[in-house]
Amino acid sequence: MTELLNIEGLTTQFYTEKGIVKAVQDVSFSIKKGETFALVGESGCGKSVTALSIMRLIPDPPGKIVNGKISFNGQDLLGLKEKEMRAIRGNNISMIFQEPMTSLNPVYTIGDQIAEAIMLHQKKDIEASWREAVDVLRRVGIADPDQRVYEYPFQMSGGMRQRVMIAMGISSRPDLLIADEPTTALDVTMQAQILDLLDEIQKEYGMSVLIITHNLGIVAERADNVAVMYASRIAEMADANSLFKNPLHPYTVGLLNSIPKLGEEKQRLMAIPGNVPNPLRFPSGCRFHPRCPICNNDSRCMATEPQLEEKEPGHMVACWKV
Amino acid sequence: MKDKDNILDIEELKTYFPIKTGLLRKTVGFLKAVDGVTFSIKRGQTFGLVGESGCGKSTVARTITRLERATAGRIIFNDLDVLEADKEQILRFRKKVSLIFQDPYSSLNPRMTVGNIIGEPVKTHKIASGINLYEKVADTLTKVGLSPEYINRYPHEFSGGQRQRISIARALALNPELVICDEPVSALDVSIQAQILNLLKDIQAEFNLTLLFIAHDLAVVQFFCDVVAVMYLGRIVEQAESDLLYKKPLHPYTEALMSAIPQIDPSLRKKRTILKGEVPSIVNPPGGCPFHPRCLYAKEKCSQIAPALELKEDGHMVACHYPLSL
Repeated sequence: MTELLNIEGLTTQFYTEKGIVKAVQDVSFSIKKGETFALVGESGCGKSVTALSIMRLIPDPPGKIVNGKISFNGQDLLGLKEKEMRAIRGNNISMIFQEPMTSLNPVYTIGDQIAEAIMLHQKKDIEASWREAVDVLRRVGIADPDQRVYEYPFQMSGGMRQRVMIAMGISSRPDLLIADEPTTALDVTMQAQILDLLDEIQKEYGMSVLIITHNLGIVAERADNVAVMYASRIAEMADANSLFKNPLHPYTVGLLNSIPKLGEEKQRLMAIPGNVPNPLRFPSGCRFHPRCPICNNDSRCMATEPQLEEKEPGHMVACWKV
Repeated sequence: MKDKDNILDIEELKTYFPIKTGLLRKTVGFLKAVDGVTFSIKRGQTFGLVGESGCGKSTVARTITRLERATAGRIIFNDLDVLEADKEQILRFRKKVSLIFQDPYSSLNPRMTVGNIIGEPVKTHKIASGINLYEKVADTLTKVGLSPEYINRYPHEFSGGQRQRISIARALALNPELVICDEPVSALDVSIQAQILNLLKDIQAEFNLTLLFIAHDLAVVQFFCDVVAVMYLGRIVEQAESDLLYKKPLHPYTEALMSAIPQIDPSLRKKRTILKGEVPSIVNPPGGCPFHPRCLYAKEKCSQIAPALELKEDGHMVACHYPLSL
């Protein structure tokens, strides 16, 4: 498989009154054509900022991509002018967000909103765009799409609105779809429906998907490759099978142990002690060391930041103890 | 027929909200948020109530504590008929029953210090005052794993997990008998969620508490609770001991709910039964069995007659005309 997106050393910072928030630091990974790549981590770990950096949607000020290279289909995205980037955004790379209620405009019908995207990106006239909007709504499994196009977002349920978001995202047949917590606001039965729909469309269109989530179950079931983020950095990266069969980073192990598994009889969960560190004041050395069960006050962990290294074939870990 | 072991008995509880419309706010119908729910909780037990958004699980909790007015039914706590109780009895009832809410950001008053948040109910119920009050608050903070130094700080200075610990401390300060936890971990990250679940387990054992645990995540409920009741559109569709429910779900909805949970371990993955469509509007629920339009096994009878919750075996109850694996 050929490479579609390659990120190298991405560093994004926010300059706030309280200091510099290093939201993403030295993040590198690549996504191949047709694959599903998952970025997983807890709130504030930098996974969404990574996605927004790829889209070049970091609000500046206060944010800024200070370092790194993002190449998409061989093109350097960070070197593009805003106008050139706009041609790629929504056309070659689309994004769907977590909360479909806040990312759809409440005062326009969904037909208006989807057709607008089609008109802008595919340079079609208004009638063709509306026809295409109906088609794409049908594709995402909305019943009676020729009537539904005239409805407003508030007339639809959460699952339905997420289908509309997906319809908008895929209307231009993008090469890469970034899905930022696409099912977090939905109930489990709806979540399964939406993820199946994404899978189906991905196969049909041959697009790559970057899925951002905190749900490891979704990652295990849907992703080809995974990067686990902790405190703005990638802690571990591998194909999904090896990551879940043989997690190497103590944070990944801790996360997996924290989740109650259905049908399992256990008195206690193995929780990770402590809290996620404040991005204004990351701990010295390895950022996980104050919570790490295997660090044992090792001076190396406390003083020097471990780099992502290949510990097993295709399995990268940033940890001194592995 | 009152069982001595039961701390709480709910009988045919109904909570309806009027739907008003027009200039005169005429009532045109009722939203049946809770529509005939019956269950009992034994002393010391953890009882789980699980279901998707809008199924009425939170309304059950709010009705038990009289934060919503019940339309019909009976709620018996120890020997007190909660719905018939007078003001003084309710005050005493509220001392024994406390609540923990989902969102630790909106359920703590941002203008009150941690000490005041935890101390206020203690003062109101005249359990302690002055230096005793301070000691009581400091002691409660220690029990939930927070340092008593935090007593003069404000909620915004804490992380989500720490705030949830403060909520738990507030609930514990009155030495309650029953704690109702309404989605206590769903706003938290997984690593913090595990800490809070462990804390609740420890505290329950230490104080011999009874817990009513409400959540949408079946895996969490199944792990945490002794007995689980599954709700759908205002009714309980299945109830059983938690491992029995997992091993042998009888209601098609429970089966679908369980199979929809993404599993990390491939060996735990069940054959996925994807439900068609969405949860119907509770304002206008389908006739017959409320689940029949989405049910894979629905037959003609299901669209006509609503099944009642019936006892099958080993305390396993199900409301279905054609239960699975029977």
